[in-house]
Amino acid sequence: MDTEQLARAASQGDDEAFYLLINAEKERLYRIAYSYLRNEADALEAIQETTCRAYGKLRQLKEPKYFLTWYIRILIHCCIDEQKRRRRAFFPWNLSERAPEPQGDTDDKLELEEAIGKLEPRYRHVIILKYYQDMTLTEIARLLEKPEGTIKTWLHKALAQLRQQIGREGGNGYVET
Amino acid sequence: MSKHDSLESALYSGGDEPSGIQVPPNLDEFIRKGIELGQAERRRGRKRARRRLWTGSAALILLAACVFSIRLSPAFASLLREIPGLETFVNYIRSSEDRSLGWALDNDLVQPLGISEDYEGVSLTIEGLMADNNRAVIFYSIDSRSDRVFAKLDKWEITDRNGESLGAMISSGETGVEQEKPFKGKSRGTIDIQMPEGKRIPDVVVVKTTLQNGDPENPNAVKNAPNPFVEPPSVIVPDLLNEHQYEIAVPVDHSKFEGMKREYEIDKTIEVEDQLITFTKATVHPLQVTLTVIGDPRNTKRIFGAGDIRMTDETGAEWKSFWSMGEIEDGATIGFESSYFHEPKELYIEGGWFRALDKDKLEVVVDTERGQIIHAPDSRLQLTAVGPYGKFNKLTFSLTVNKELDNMFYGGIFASEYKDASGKKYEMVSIPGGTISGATGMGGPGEYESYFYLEDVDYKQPLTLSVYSYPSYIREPYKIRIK
Repeated sequence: MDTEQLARAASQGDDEAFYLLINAEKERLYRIAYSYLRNEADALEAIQETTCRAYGKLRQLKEPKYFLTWYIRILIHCCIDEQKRRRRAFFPWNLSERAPEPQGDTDDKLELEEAIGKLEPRYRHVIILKYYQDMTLTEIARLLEKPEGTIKTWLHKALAQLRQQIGREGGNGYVET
Repeated sequence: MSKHDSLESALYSGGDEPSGIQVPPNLDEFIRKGIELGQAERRRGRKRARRRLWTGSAALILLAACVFSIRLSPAFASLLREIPGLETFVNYIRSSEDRSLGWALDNDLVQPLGISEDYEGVSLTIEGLMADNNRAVIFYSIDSRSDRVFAKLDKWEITDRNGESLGAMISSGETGVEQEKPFKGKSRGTIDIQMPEGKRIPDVVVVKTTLQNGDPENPNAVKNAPNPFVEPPSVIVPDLLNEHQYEIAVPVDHSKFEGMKREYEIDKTIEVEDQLITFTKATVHPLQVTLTVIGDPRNTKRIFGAGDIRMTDETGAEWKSFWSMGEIEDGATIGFESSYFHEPKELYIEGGWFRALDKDKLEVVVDTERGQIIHAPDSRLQLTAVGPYGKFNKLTFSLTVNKELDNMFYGGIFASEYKDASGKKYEMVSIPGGTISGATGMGGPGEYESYFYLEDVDYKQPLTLSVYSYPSYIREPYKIRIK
C-alpha cells in the first residue's frame, strides 16, 4: 500500500497502518523533533505525544495524502508545548546544555545557532525547516498554512536578521559574496 | 574569516549533519507507546471538563468536532508572554479549536489588564481580555496563598455596570490548574461572553463570582469540584465554611476594535423537505462571524438548528461553526470562526442538513410515579430512572444518536418549563454548583443521558416536558453566497 492508502486505512481504524505510516518516516520525524528540542529524551517524548495526539485526531484528517504534513504540524506543536512547559530560556537551542569550549568550525556553528535561537519564532520555523529539514518553500507553506509568498518573505527577513546579528555581535563575518 | 563563504551555505552545512542527530534505537517503542496512549484515551472518551453557565433564553452550543490547527507564535504573542499572567493564555489561545482567537492575538487585539481583588489570601485577577463589538474573552486567574482555605470560585455572574444581565451567552472554563489540591496554588480560566445579535459589549463588564472556602481540617472538605450529578446538593453544601463574593469591574477598550466590522445582506430562502429557511444577514467581526437565519412560520416542523453548516471561501477553506443562539424557528444567530483578518474574495455558507422535528412531536409525556414514558418523539428516547436526589426528584433519560452522522452533544434536550396534567406550570430545579441543563455524556457510545430535576410535590400525573433539540433531520444540500 502507498502512503495515501495506508493513511486512508489508518483513518478508518487500522492501527497497524497508522504505525507503518509513522514508522516509515520515523527518522525524519525524530530529527525534526530533535532540531527543536536539542535533547534525545525530549525528542522521544515529543514523538510519543505526537503519535498519541495524532491517533486521537485521526478522524479529522481530511486529505490522507497529506498525512505526513499533518503529522509534522502536530509534532511542531508538541515541540512548542514541550518548550513552554520546560520554560527554557531560548527556543529552540538551549546553549547552557551544550558542550563547553567550542573551537573554530564549531564556534561558527554555535554562534549561528545562537543567532537562530534569537529569531522570532516564525522566522525560526522557516530556517529550521528549510535548512535543517531540507523542505521546499511549498512544503513549508503547506505545513505552516501560509501562502508561499509569505514564507518567502519570512525567509528573506530571517536571513537578513541573521546576517545583522552575526555581523553586529562581532561574528566571523558571514557576508554574502 | 569564516570558512563559510555565505550564510546560506553555513546554514545548509549546519543542517547537513546526520551524525549530529543520532536516531535512538528505541524510537519504535515510543511510537508504539503513543499509539497505546491514544487507544486508551479513545476508550475513555473525551472528558468534558468544561462547565457552562447560561443566561438568556434557549442558547445552545454546538460542540462541533474541529479540525486541529496549529498557529505559530509571531512577535506580538512572544511579547505578551513576557507579561506575567498572560503567558498561559497565549498557549491556550494557540491550542484553541477556535482559530479566531489566535488570529486576533496576532493582530494585537489583546488588552492586558491585571486587576485583582484579594480576600483572605485568595486573589482573583482579571489578567486581560480580547474583545470585538459582540464578543469578549476574559482571562482570569485565581491565586491561593492561604493554606486555610480551599479556593474554588463558582456562581459566575456577568453584568453591566448597573448590575443588569447582559442577555449574553456565557461560557467559562478552566485552562489549566496548577493548584495543589485542595488548598494552594494557581488556577486559570476564561470567560467567553457572546452578545446577542445587535447588542454591543458594554464599556464595563462586571464579573462577580463566589469564593467557596473549604475547611482543611474537615476530612469531608471539598477536595475536588463536587459533581452535582453524582452528589446530591445536601452533600455539597455543608462542607463549605463561608463564602465571599468577588466583584471586579473590567474595562473594555472599544477603541481597539472600533469600526472593525463588515456587514453583508443575504436575504436568500432555501427549501429543505418542504420547510422554508431564510438566511438574512452575515456580519464579520474580528472574533467571530455571525449569521442570522429564520424559519418560515408556516413550516410544519420545528427547526432546531443547522447541522453541518460551515463557511467557506473561494479556495474551499472552511471556517467552523461553534455556536448557535436561539432556534431557527424564531430566528437564530449562528457563530463561525472569523475570516476578518483573511479577507477572502468570496464567502459562502454551505451545508446539507438541519435538525428538525414535526411540531406535533415536540412534547414528551411521562408518568413519574410509574416511571413510564407515555409519549416520545420516537423510541430512541427512554426514561431509564426516576429517583430521589437530595430533596428533589431526578429523571434520567437516555437518547441514542448516530454519532457518525451527528456529533452534537445531546445533553439536556428539554426546555426547563414543564407542566402536570392539570395544566399547572413548573420550572426545572436548578442545582447548586452545577450546570443548569443537567446533562452528561456518561452512557454508552452514541448514548446520551439527560437529567431533569423536579420539585418533589404532588403532581397530577402525567407530566409534559418539551424538547428543544432532537436528533431528527431534514436534508438538502445548499450553498449560499455571502460576498
